[in-house]
Amino acid sequence: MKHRQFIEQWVNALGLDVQNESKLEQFDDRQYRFSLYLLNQDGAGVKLRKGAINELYVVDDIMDWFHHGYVTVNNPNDVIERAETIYMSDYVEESKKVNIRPYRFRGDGRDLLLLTFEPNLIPETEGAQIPEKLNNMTYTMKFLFTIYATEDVLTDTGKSDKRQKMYFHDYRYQMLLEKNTYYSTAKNTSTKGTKTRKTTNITQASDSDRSKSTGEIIQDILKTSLLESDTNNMFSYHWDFGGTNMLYTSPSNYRAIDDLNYILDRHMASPGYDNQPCLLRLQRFTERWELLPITEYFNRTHKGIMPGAYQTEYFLLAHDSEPENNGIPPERKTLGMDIKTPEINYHFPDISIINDYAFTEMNGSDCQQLLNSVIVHRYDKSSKQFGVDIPEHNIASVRNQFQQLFVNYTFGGIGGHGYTSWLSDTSREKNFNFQVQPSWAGDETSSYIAGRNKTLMSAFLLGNSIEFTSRGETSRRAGVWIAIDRDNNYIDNDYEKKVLGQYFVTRVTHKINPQGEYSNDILGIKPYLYEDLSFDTVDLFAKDTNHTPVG
Amino acid sequence: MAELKIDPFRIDINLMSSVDLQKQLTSYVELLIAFPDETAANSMFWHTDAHSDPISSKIDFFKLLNSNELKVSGNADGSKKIKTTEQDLKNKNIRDQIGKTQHVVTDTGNKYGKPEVSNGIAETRVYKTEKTWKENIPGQTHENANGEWVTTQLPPEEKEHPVVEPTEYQNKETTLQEKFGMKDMSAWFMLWWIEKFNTTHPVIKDQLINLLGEDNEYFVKFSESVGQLKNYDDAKDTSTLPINDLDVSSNLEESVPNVLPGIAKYCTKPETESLAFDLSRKTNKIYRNNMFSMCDNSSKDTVVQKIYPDVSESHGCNLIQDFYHPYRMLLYVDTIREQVQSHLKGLYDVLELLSDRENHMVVGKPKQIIMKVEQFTTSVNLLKNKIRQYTLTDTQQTLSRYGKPTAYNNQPLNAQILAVPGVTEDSLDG
Repeated sequence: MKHRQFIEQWVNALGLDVQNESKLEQFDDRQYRFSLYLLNQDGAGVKLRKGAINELYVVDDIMDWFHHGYVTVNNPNDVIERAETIYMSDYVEESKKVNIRPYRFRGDGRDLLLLTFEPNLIPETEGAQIPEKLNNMTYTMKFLFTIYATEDVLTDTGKSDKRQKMYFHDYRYQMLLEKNTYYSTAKNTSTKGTKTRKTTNITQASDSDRSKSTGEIIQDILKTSLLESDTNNMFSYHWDFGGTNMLYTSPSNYRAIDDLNYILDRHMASPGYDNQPCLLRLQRFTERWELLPITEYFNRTHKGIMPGAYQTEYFLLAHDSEPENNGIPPERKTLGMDIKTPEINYHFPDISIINDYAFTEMNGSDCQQLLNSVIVHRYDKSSKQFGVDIPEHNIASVRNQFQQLFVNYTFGGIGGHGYTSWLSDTSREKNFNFQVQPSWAGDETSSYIAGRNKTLMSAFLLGNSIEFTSRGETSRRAGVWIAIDRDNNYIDNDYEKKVLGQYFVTRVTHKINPQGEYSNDILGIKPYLYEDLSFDTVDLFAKDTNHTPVG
Repeated sequence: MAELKIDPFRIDINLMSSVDLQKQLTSYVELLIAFPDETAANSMFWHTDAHSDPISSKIDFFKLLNSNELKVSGNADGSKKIKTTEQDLKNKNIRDQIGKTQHVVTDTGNKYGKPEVSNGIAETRVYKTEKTWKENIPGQTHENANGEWVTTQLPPEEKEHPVVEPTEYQNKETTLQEKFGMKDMSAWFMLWWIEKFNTTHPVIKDQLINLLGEDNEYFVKFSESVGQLKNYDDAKDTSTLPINDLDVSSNLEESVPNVLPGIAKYCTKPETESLAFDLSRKTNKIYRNNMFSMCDNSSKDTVVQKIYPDVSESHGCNLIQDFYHPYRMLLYVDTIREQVQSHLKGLYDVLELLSDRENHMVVGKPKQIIMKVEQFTTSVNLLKNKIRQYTLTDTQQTLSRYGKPTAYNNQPLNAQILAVPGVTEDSLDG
């Protein structure tokens, strides 16, 4: 049994959902099953009713594999910790008054928040059977958070309007923050493939015999630090074990999170994926661990002419231009919506609408400072040789690989795929604008991490982005794709080719505001264009800095 | 009891730290057959350096050595390692001769059991495992499928491997004494420990003498030159030999005056001694011919020249030799010996050795010792340096009794150590 499920059972046993056992709450014209409980191991539990919530932010960011956020709840006169009795009813009736044990904050990272949030299904026809709970990996949010900081928030209206702000993050992240590991690949040498058992003691084994693929190390660190139920059979079948083996021993002052970050920083995909960067994710609800090469995310945008497994919501931009009624409709920039598949490429006519958005071009300084050629130098301890890698990390080569590895999997107008949106130029390609980076590894392939892979990652995440706020919907999450298109006939031009299409969601914020409204802030990136827009790539400011004019 | 003559240094090379290791892990076992207790004692003394208080340990050691109460049998510091047995060492020798991937079949089934060896062939097995990442629900490989590690043990592969078995001596038990000390050792070993004592730290010497007293048996002030008391041959000199032997040749050994005192003769090269002998003979020949005419006999009424006086006559006669002096000396030899013996007690044998001018030190040195270094059989000399034999090819190897064999002449080149691909020693030189 998972830790969260155990806590859920415990909460049910506490009987906190008096008179609202189905946990129904109204958000605008919709009903959701929503519950938020505050509890700890001392046996104290408090249900934080939706009406008492002043603000709730739950952030899902692609750069963090875990969810985090904060909640502000009304706490007049410190009632959470002072109330000795409550009414077991929405009405003040003396007979319904019962004694309770007030909540006591522990302040040691062991105060827990259990959040459940999912749409309430209503039968299409009255009396039809529907599941009591949706419990769906796309639509249901279930989190167990630990509170890592609290804050009393004062208001101008005095202590009767006092609020309690609680900052939280996923309990697994908290565990990794706390655990010193005694991990070493030398102590866990069982590696994948066919191995002949050797008679040599580990103390006499070679470094290569004591090393493991970085993907296995990541699994080991998680298995070492987290509860067995959180890792046992919880790793994706498509887990990428990486192209580099490493002899790693956790330094004594390293926490598990330091170990994890250290390895992730050196992990690159297996050679079949050309050693590209990977992303670690902890999927919500299913709570699976996923370590996927970025290509796989692009690969899951579409399957032929059908949307792929990671294409989620289909958004429409509100009408903002007058179409020519008699003209030929422009090419479709997306695969089109499908209102019959609730988990892939779904569209809600009243919710999946973008009224206004902020579209941000790639930052010029990022482009010139991060997306340039990298000269990587390295030292091979076995051959005692220094090496300098130049062509592999040249921006022209990296851009070409970005196209091959990622953008060729998108939906677009050049042979069925898109065209890389970010630009290189002659100065960067001819090494008049470059970075020099050291590599931790001695060989050429492992050194991709230091140059090429960082550039690929930067180009992926710093590309053109869209940011908009939408009415809330629990299915929205980071690490998947959304489609943005227009349903009316519009005048096609380069802007539409840039803006319309599939976006990789890098951050979603689920928020409930003081008025009780539920909304989402969504940030997506789109590092490709529908087709080649023929930008001039000769550097306007080109200068041969290898020569200084005489006089 | 040990035979008399061996250079104790050959035992003190500290090749291994105990008798059982030396017996099972090296070919340097001849002296173990002859000097097991001495070897153990030396190892024990080496161990005192590693004790938390080496000074007290050394004092204790010398004290027990002096009182013949050194317990060498089963001693963890010099005789037998407490965490292993000789059988375990033999088992490991067999295991180490076999490749990294082969596992020896043993009587217990355990890795550390006795290997099954017959006629120089050990039975081994090769174990393989296959660890694969598979879907945890068969057939489900979709985007949301989970995986798990599946480890399969493949059937072991049987293999035979040639090994060198232990020698007859290695299979025999070594007997060590319960109590051992100076009196059980030959003179040279005693001398060796006296030397060790004399060169040890002053604090150890002072405290030990305080403990034992100055009149103890072995660790006393002992002058090695006292041994020259028995070399009375140097009493025959110009004054005690007759002058009428003008050719100095009547009896070569008896008639040539001795010009080297006994103590000098002890440390004089034979050729120097021979030269001194010749010079003495020649100069005395001239001297006697010149002096012979000066001989007279004053006992007559008139001086009679060139008459060789009787040695029994008065010393008033010119050039009369004191012929009886050596004989008088000889009469006291036994008395002196008795005195010295009663004074030196156990050290008298040392005195005898010191006055023995034979050199045994170069006799019987081993050219090479085959021993175990980690898991390999290596050839070393007495200084524990790896031996390189120019008469052997690069591919010739040691035997593999103690572990995998090593090549005699495998001297890696600088370029190989640097491990730079494509660079050879020649090109570096060129």
